[in-house]
Amino acid sequence: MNKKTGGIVAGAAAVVAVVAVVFVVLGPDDDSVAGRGDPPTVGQMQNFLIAGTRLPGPTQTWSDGDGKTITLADFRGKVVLVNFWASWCAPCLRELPSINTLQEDLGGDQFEVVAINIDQQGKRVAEPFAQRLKLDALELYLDPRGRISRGVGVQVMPTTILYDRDGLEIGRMEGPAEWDQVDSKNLMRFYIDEPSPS
Amino acid sequence: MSAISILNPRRLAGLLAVLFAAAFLSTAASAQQAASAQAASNWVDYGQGRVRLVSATTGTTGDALLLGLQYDMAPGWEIYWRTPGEAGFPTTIDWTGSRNISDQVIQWPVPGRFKIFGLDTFGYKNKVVLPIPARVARPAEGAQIRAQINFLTCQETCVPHDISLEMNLPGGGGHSEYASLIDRYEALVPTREAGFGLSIERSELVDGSDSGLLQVVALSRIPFTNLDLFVEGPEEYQFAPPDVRISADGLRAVLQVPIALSSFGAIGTPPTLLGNELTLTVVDGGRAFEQTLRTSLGQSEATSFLPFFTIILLAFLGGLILNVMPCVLPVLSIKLLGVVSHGGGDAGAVRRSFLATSAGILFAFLALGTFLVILRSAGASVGWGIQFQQPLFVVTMILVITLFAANMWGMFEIALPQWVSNLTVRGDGGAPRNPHSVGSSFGSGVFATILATPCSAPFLGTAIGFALSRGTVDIYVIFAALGVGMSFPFLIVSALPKLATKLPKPGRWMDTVKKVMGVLLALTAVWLLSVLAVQVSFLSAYVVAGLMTATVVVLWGRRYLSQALRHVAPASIVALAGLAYLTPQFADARGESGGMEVIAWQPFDEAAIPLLVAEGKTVFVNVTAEWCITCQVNKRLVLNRGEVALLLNSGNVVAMEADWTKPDETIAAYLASFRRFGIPFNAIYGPVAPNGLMLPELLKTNVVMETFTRASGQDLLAAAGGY
Repeated sequence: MNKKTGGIVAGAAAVVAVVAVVFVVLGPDDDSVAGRGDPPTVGQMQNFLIAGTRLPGPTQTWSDGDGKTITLADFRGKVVLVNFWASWCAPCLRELPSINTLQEDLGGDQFEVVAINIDQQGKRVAEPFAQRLKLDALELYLDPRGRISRGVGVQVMPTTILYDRDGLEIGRMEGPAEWDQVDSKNLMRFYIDEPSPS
Repeated sequence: MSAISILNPRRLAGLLAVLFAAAFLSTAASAQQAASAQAASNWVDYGQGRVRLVSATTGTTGDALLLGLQYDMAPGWEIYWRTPGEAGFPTTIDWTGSRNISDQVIQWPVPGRFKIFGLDTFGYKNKVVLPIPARVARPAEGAQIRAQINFLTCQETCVPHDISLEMNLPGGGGHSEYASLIDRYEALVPTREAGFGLSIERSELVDGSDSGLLQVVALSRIPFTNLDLFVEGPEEYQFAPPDVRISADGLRAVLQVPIALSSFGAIGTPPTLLGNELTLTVVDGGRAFEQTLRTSLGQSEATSFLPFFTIILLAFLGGLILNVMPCVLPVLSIKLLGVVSHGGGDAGAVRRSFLATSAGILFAFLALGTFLVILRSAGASVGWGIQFQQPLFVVTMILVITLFAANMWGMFEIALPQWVSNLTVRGDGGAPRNPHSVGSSFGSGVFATILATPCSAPFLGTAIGFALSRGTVDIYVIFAALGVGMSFPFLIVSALPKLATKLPKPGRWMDTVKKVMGVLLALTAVWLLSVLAVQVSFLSAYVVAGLMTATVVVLWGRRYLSQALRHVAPASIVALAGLAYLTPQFADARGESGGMEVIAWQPFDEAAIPLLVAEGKTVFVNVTAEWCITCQVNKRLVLNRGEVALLLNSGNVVAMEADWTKPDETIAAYLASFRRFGIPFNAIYGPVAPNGLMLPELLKTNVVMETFTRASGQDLLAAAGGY
């Protein structure tokens, strides 16, 4: 009997200790975001560069498949991953399916993937590629004049930029990655779970 | 404060040093600019490499201008061909702002194949110059060139670039230091002329299927060596590297290209390829030829529609027929004769001996199969008798066959070292210790098979062509069938040894048979010499033929020599054989412009031409270079042959050759005087044409002969005494 009670007490103590540790490590920190630890830019995300200071995202526009004008402000309130791609860019074509899967897995009212095609011929070229690549979770977005891509200073393809809920640039990656893998999802979740500064 | 700090002596010294360095650098830079200002734009560094415009001339020397877009790329970075493949785009140029030039066309040297992220692309890495011929409306005014170039470069990432290049060319001028650079890349641009002795016989869709094979039959007047094919068609399709099969003489090739839908881009039903036009670029070594052809309906020459069993049967028949082909018949007959000379003998021994020979044949065929499998997996294009593309191998065979022929004619007895004679046939019909030894019989089977390889027999080509288009297992099965076919007569004898033991007793008839065999062997050697002639040169074939004749003479004459001199004979035969080996190498090393020339070329001397013409001579000028494949083709097919060769060597004609392998001011200036930027260049001077008549780049015998007549004002051939 005694023995059994002792076991229960010890077990309860252990549970309390674990919960306490978890709370300390993962729990909300009132002081700053930095208290959550460094963003997990490891593995597939090792080339993801976090901006020193979050600057406002672009005000330039792009269009959807129907010609409707879109801006980054349309996504306010969501963490947004903007990927620039082109039909002539082999690494882009290689990573696009994983970008589509990322939207399938994480997309919702907290997070959205925006893939913008920069082919000069616009929809005529982009749409067949999007269909062949089975990008069915992604909207077709077009920037044939390079307004938005120039606006955010894309020089290397592919370039992928992450914006926070307020439209400020968190960081960006030049070059391809497997975006549907755990490294990428951890990084996305890190910012999706970021407490709003307001 | 700032004034004070500038006046600080240490700072002042530093400042002066910087200013001095800047002045020095700018002086150096401007000096360098002055040297090449007119023939090249500045280099523009774009991060993954650098790019500039170059010109073949220092000014606008005529109504034609040759520019080049020169790229120096960082390792691993690619730029794209006119057809980039599954992803990429080619360089485009906007010439807005240019003055006095027009009709600029980018020319595309043969690209490389590069896989990037699993996608097949065509492009260039490291260094390339895209030649750009243009027109100049008013040459005296010079030209202003403004090129806005747009291109993509990719490695792990892709970077598109928009770069402005500018260059001003004055009126007049001569060849620039970039002339031979541009020319070298222009030589790599596929020609649409029926040049280089290359042509495309047909392009067909096997069984009319858009997802099957495109079959292209290419012909060449000199043997193919390293064949590739680029196919450009509707963007919905992608065309893999070809499966290449080259005929035994190397002059015909069947290329089969697997057709697949492109990984991206196609939507709905792609256009059918049948009847559609495809642009085909055939590349062989440094030669390239392109043609746009309508695709017809065809059947695979790989005969893949034949059932496998039929192929095995054909292989068996092909092997069987090899026995009566001239290259094998003598060797195997010798074996039979060896048996005869022993008046039959023990049936069991005959059986063992013939079985061993069969095993030797089979072993050799499987070894050949293995060799081809290895070569194929190394990416080489293989064919039956591929080793005959190797001049040294051909010389070896000529030597061996000559010695065998001499042996058949009774000129000598094979007295090879013991281990060799154990492996080879005792052709003298003499009495080896054990004529039916299993080892020596096996060796004779192997030897017979090696000798068989230069011979093509009916059905053989079909079977081997099929085998080479298939997998490893199929190659082995078919080669085994060939081996069984060739050894079939021996298998029969070993099953029925009485066939051998019942042959008539040796006598005079056997001597006659041996003499005939010797003649057959000699004919085989002549055939091999013709192979050598195409491969290396006619001259080297003649030289080897002469050396072989000398060998036979030495062997024959030996018996009339004194005892002392007789010992010299083997040494002289070894020396003759050595010379035979050196012949193709010598001709190879010196190329067509070396000491083994058919034509007695004199070094180019422009100043001497008017003097020679004044003497009534006709002068033929040939400007060539090692990298100029067309020049080699011209030589091989026109200059070194027939009437033209006869004329060039006749006393009335002075043949001059200028070697432009390396940049050369004198030659460049000479070419410029004809407003030509590239080679091949040929001209004929004569009393009627003291300023010279230019010949087209691709020479034809009749055109050269006519031009000779026009320049000299007489029928030179007749003057030289005709043939």
